[in-house]
Amino acid sequence: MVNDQLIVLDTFKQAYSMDKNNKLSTMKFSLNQEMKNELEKIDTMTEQITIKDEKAYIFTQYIMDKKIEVK
Amino acid sequence: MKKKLLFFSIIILIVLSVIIFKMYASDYVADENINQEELPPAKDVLNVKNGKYVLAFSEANDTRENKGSFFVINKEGVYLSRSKELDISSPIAFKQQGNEAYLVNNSSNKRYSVNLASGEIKNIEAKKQNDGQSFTLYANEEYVIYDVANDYNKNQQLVYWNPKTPEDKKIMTIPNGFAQSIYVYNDVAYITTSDPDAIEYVHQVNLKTGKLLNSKKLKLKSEEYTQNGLPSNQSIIMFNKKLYVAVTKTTVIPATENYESDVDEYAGRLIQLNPKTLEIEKKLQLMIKISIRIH
Repeated sequence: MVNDQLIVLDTFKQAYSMDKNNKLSTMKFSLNQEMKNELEKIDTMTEQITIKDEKAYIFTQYIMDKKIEVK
Repeated sequence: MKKKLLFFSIIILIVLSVIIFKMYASDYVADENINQEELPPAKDVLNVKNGKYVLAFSEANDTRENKGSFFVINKEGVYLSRSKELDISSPIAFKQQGNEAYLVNNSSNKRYSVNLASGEIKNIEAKKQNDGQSFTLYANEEYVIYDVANDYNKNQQLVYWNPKTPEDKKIMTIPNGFAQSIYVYNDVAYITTSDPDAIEYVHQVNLKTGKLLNSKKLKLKSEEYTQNGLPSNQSIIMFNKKLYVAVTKTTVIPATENYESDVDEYAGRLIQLNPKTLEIEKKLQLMIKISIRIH
């Protein structure tokens, strides 16, 4: 919850906020091109989110483009 | 199918949960003497001086007997300190309450706390709890609570305590499968679970008495959530005197001649519950359907 709104994170492209009247709004993130390039990599996964005050700290990883022998 | 198996195998082999956590440290000072090619030496106690974040992660392998460590990094991502190897494997939740941070794993029976002021690391399991990993953890000023996932067909344990008296841990059980998410409000814990048939439930527990007050099946249609029965980063929260549970539906469209890879389509809903009766009051369509291609 942030500023009396319920915030739901979706993808890095958007999140949702809901007020006390259940009105839902879409929020867009302000990302620079370097961040977009990293997050747009296929197989990027969010591992953990920690909220402090108004900031969400989001840890993501993506799978290395590397062939691995699987027995 | 083969591609998908390879994909998941790669996930298991290369990557497992990494958790990031903001520390209380006010200002950081980058230490230019630290060589990024060499991690700091492993210590029993973390050096949190100048740290900005604490991370916990493990590198998985196919035996699932891997180890992990805690790390302290500064704002630039420079590793400042590292704990000795611990039974950290697929850490799934890392929550801060005051100066303590609590960690549970979903591939290890061990759980730890880290003091963010001193760097001291402690085990936090209750003495008489079952063997089993965790899927969720919740912490506020009055309670720390985690699940112990054991026999899927039996009741699951919850371990909880007041953060001021960590030596006084209590254990109770809840029915209907593995716990997925926990939220505590006014000494009452609200917990979602999923049973072996992938039926979702919500429970209401009085943490002062240790009694289960109410359990309700979440009346969801099959097209509203994914029926895999396993924890899926579900969350539950109290907002404006109502409970909200977020659910996701994943649909896999197999690869065909027209496109070379499977496509996962996601759609989500926010389920509004009455916190007294646990009955569903509203289902809010939340997520615009998105598609993600799987190699």
